Amino acid sequence: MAKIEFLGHLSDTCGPAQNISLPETVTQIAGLRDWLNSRFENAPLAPPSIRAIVNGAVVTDDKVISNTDIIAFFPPVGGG
Amino acid sequence: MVTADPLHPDALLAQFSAANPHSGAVLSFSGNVRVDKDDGKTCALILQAYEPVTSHGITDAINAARARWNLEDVMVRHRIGEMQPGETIVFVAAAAKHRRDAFSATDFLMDYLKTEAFFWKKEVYENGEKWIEPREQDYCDAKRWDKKS
Repeated sequence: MAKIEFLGHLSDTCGPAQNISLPETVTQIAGLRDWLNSRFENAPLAPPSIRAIVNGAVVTDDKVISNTDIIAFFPPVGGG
Repeated sequence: MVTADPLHPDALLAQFSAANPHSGAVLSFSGNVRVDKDDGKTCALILQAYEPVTSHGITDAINAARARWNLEDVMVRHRIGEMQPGETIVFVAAAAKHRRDAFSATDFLMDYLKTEAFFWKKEVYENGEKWIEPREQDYCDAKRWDKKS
């Protein structure tokens, strides 16, 4: 199972986290975006404002993913 | 570096100054939750982080500041969780031989924290709540560091 986390405002619309068995057709972040967007209203994970982190590193949409990964989707950041 | 406990800037500055008794310049910045907002009175601010990514990013920014300016010490503390108006969100301090290095490093680190650090911020009002993203001015401020050597 891959752990999918949703940060910032995504935690309100998608829930904070889900453990998901990735479909065989989902092999990259881009495919995971599409698959998740089809499961939520209003496609909340649309790029480019929503980026992804895999196992602690910010990645691009061609990043290959597997069921052992911890994946987070996040909107624009900013603290202070 | 990232904590859910309240920040006490006076105590942090005293601690930082005591640790750097020979620095010619000791500078600190505290960012606090404002009381009044256009959308209604701010009741609370909620800060979310994603550890350890958030702390790793701050460490990289501190290292970048150390590489760029002549610094003797740096301290960054950033609060997460729910905080009330008047409470401190962030504390940054720099110690250097000369003041300009301390001013620049503190300014640089605050611009990093405002626009690139892995935090998400929600304001809670009497009549609702809203996730806040950096303002255009925050991004312009951060870009200043791209041009200068």
